Amino acid sequence: MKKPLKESLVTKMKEHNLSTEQLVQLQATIAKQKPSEKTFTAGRLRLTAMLASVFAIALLIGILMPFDDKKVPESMLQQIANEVVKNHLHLKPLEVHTNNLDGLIHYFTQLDFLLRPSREVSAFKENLLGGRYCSLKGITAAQLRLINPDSQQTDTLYQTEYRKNIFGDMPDIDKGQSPRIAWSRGVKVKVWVEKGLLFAMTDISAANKK
Amino acid sequence: MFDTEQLQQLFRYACALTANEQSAYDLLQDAVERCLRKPPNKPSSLLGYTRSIIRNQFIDTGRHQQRFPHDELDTDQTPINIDIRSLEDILIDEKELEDIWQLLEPIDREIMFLWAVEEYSVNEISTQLEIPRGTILSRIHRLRKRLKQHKHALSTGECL
Repeated sequence: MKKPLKESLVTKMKEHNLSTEQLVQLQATIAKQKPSEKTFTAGRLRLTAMLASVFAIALLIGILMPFDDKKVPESMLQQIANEVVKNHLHLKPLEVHTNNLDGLIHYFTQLDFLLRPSREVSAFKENLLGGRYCSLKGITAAQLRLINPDSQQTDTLYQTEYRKNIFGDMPDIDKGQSPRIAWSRGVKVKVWVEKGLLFAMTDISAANKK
Repeated sequence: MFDTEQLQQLFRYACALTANEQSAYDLLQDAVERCLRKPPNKPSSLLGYTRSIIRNQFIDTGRHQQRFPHDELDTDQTPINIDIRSLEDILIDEKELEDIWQLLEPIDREIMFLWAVEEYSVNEISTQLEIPRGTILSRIHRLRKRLKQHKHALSTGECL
């Protein structure tokens, strides 16, 4: 199937991933070899003193500011939600239109996993519209589109192989855990693991209620 | 210093240059070690800095003479009334891309990577690669022509 060059290239390049073994090796190299230490000269000491003053001022401002204004590192959950919502809002054209799961499985031949319905998605097969290749945190994923039976609006469901070293700990509903929730750009996103797959789904109806 | 996603990004960049995953991994490992020995002045420039190390290392391995012919490109007289967006209307399937990808010169793969994956503009590509803007545009012009020729050859069964 022909696709725009840019899209094809992105898909192609995202198929290149370091293996777990290679990542472990690289991370071991990084952990082992700390950056070289530099000797302090008088100039450097002056610079350090200046930076310390700036830091002290920044700290003072930080203390005086309300806590929720401080920037904290973005969690993996939030990063997933941001990526899913960004792509959901863009609503790029579907590559395959079908409400049949077998039809989707037949189309997505380049995935390293088998598409599965989820217990978390009500009437999955009945509400399916189709899908397209995509990626989540650089891992090839299937982006499916469904009609939300309550709101009749469109929701986006991502499915990809669950790689713990990339996605971190996510709740596994097969072990009785509940999906995690994050909000991004006014859209609610649920993230969970099921049958060894990572699922992330928007919930537009929740956004409307909020 | 590097998180997993950054390592994956750099690995893909190295894959674009080498068109070979094992060589890309070797380049990346070498670049990470160099970067640890001599870190960038600004931590925010870590990715760009490491990409430059990967690129320089790739060139230093002796493969650059045919593959990065800057001198020849710099004198190119191709009109520059073209734009990188001219690549956007090309439709291609996975097999065609795979065939063409292996035939492209590393610099063309690099330009395409920076354009498609990193979403760089011509000016940004020019800055990153330290190549004049006109040269990048000439390269894109030829690249587009070559892609079209190759697609035509594939459809008619000719060999290029």
